[in-house]
Amino acid sequence: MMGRGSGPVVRLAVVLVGVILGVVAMTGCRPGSGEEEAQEQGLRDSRDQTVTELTAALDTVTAGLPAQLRFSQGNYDTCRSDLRGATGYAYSVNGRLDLAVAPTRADLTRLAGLLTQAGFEAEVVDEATVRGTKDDLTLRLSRLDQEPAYLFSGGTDECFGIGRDRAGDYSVDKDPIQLG
Amino acid sequence: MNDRVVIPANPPEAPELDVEPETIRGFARSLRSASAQIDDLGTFVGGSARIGDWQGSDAAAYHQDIAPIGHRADAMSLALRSVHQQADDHADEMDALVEERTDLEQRRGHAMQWISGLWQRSRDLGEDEVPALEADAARCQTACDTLADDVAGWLRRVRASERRMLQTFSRVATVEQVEKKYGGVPDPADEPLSRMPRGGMPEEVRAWWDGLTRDEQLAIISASPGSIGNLDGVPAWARGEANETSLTRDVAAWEMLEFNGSITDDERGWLENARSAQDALADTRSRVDPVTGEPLVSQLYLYDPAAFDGDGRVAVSVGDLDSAQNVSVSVPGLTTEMTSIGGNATNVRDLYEASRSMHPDQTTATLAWIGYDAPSGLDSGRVGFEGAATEGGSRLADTLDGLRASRDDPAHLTVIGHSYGSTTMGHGLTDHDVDVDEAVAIGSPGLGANAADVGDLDVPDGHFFVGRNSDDPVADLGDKGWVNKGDALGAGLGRDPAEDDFGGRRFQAEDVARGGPPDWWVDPTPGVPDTIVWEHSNSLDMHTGYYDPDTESLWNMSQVVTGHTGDEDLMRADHVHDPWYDGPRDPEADADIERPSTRQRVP
Repeated sequence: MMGRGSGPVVRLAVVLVGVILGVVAMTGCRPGSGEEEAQEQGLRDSRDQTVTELTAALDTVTAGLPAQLRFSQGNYDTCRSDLRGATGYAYSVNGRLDLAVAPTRADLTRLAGLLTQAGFEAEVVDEATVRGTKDDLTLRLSRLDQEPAYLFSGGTDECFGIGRDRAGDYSVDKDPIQLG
Repeated sequence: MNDRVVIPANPPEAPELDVEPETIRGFARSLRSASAQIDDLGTFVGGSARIGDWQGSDAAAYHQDIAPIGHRADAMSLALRSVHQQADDHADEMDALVEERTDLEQRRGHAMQWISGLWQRSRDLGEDEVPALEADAARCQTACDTLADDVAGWLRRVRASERRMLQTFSRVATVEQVEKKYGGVPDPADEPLSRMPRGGMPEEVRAWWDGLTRDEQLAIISASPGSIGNLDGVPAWARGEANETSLTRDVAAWEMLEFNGSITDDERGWLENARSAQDALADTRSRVDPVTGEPLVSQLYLYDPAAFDGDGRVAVSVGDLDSAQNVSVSVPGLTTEMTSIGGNATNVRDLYEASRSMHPDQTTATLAWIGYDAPSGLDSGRVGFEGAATEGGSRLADTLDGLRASRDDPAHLTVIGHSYGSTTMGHGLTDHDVDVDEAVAIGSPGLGANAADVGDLDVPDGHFFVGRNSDDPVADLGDKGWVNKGDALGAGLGRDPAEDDFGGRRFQAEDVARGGPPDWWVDPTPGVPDTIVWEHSNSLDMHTGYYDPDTESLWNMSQVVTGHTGDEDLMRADHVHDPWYDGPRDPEADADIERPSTRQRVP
């Protein structure tokens, strides 16, 4: 078997790193800056833009299929973190559209057409999902197998850094959105 | 219009039901916690308030004086418990009635459309069409009559449920009523608790629990939540209810001390721990399931805010651990203590939502398990040693045994260890007999000294997985063997499980910010005085992003948790290779980074 020991100096270094990380995480010390405020504003803007764009797109989809919005919820998705939790978020939305009958694979083409009508570049990704993109926004709709419904999710990949002291405020979307 | 055909009148409407069952449940929980608090008072007066060495006439007088207080407290506790139970039942009944009303209203809508159609057909009706319209109108009348009966029945059930609630309140409205009904009545929790197996195997505990009546189970949850809250073998629903009873009671008691200014430093720490658990539960329940839109279920599976010298012990689930087809247990590492449960609950919530979205036909529950004394704060230096992992591995094995024993139908069980938590998991899988279907190590510095290769792990062949971001400095600590041993000279906690010789199955887990600047650096701009710049995109983020949505890592873990473990089901990654003539090489460092959607169904 290969050796696995390590010298006492290296081991000590690991222990010290552990202590430093632990204390840093415990105290949450990290310098603040005006940049953080700008990032937080960016996150709020991203949220507003996502909600506005997706509402318009889903209005077109629900009218065209037709379908009914069963629920929607906003998410602050962790995209950056440290040992104590999230320090950066990207905003996204997900939810469900109910239909009269279960969609088949063939129905995805029609759905892609509706997304195109809504101003998205749309493509059928596989036998379950249609993806639409508009600038940096992506909207995906996946059909369920045995239920008359599509699950949808949408948002941008842009990640906004939020200071550790403010990150907890974004653990959930405390001002729930309702699309459509 | 033809007046020979009698068209039915519009059917009656089911009145609006202005009720929030969840609010009633919250009220019921408060009552149960109050019952537990008062029960504690009764126990205190009856037992610990008695001072053994104090004898004589003064002691006798004192005990005589306080005896009625204990007697009354026990009666009051039982009274509150009865109201709690009724309120809980009332909430369930209201849930069912709200759902039933939705159904009745749908049927009413259809009937109205039917009637409207009949009226339209009756205009300009030809003689030969009359019999068909009469027959249809008769059918519609029958449907309307049935609907009217159902609405009347529904209304009777609403009133009956409200009446039962009122009666329960009115029976215990005064102290006299309470004493008359419950004074001297033995607590139904006492006898079954006396039969509880002490230090028994989870299977024995389960047999004992299953042998109790529903009333006895509920009595124990109210009267002695601490006795079963963390007891392996008891179903998760009961542990969750019991622990939340303790949690609500504790927060109320410590907040009172805080308000009075008499809280101790220890108690302040315990209060902070308890509030963290409370917030994690509330955050989880404020979200809905991505497939059904129903509020997420969350169970407080472990609760001990004073454990480990005040670091605390806690486990919070997303999803129902008793019934989900897939169950995962996530073990975190360095810096983890009870106040970290919020971030850890978010991680397993992301795993839950990804698993549900990717495979909507399967039910899943994910558990954030802070059940061991992880290196944290001032004792973080223990991260360089395996003592905490060895002890934690034993506790983890107990939890896995408990989850298995408390269910009839075996869940597809996955254990996931991150960072030092993977070392803990490693000890659980090497030092104990466990029964897991899958094991996953992410960001692992090694699985401990007892795990030389995958054969040492108690995991089915081919079901041990590794996720390692090539830029993760902690995952780089594991021993690579041979000459160079790795960048950290093998200073980690055993063999690097991502190495080819270890024998695990590696999946892609690259971080989207791979290759970014380090955590802090000196601004090199010419003419600018040396300034230390902090960057958000930091090297530590390379170690903590494994649960982030829309990442390779979360996508692959969700596939494993839901049992999709074939080679074609995963984004496979090449292993770290350590040639004898040179240092280790990680081929993933040059691989393209993918951004799979973890909110999209996998066909």
